[in-house]
Amino acid sequence: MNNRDAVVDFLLQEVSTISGVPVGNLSESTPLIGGGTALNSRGLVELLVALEEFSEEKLHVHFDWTSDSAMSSNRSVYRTVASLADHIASLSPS
Amino acid sequence: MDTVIVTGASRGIGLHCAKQLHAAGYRVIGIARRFDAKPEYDVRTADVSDHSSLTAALQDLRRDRSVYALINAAGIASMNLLLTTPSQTIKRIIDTNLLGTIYASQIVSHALVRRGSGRIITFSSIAVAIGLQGESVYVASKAGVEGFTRSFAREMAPHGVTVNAVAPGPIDTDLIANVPAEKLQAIVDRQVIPQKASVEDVWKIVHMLLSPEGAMLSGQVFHVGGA
Repeated sequence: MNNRDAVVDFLLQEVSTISGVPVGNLSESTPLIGGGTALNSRGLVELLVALEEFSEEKLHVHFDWTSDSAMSSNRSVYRTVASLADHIASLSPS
Repeated sequence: MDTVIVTGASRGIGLHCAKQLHAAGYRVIGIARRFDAKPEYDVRTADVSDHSSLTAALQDLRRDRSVYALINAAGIASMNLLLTTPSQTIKRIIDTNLLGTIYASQIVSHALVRRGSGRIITFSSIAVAIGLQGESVYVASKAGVEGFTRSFAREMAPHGVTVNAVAPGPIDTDLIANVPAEKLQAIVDRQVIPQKASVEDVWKIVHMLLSPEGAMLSGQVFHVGGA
């Protein structure tokens, strides 16, 4: 399993745990912010805390929530499970 | 042992709080641009107005669940009419007082969110409440801190973290060392309790906010002496 697939699996499981939505009802296109998301602001922060630890411990990459590339308003990496997984997969090992 | 991070820990209110926290049994990490003396607790040099500098100084605490509180005591003032204040001074006051508070709160909150509880204390001033003449930039920076405190308190409440501001009147510290005595007395006279408070008075409010009794207090501005 490559890094991106591992991140997708991790995100789907975490979103399900935090939101209570069954994993089967989630997909790569599931929104993490904005309309239609199953996460409130607390849930999003919990997801990012978990993702930061997963990224560093399992993938050995540092995920900075507040980097300019992550926070770009037009193409925020937090849009969907897929966009966040793409971002993590693009990071270089530390 | 709970860890408390104190910015502006080299003098004034920050130094007093750091000493009292250490005496009360907390693990203290003091932050300042420089320290003239090495205290018994951990100190680290960083400029709160420099996000990179502050991030580097606190990097090892990002996932430290012992981190319980942040006391944002770093602050500067420059009593001048706005029309005679150099632009670099304006920037330095806003950067240190407002951005420094925001930066430190953001960085330390990573640890507090992981812990699921904690306290953030910011510092405003009576100068905001009375619109003190000759302090417009300082007042702007501290009014920003008050607004930040009220809003950020709501962001952090779901994570069990309270955010409050303490707003003293004139306190005998280096911050007001060059302000004429009659000017200070005129400000004190406008307080609800018209007597000059001490750093110990400020510490008592900080201590209360850190205690379990402070758990239901958030998004508030506490005026020492009343305003």
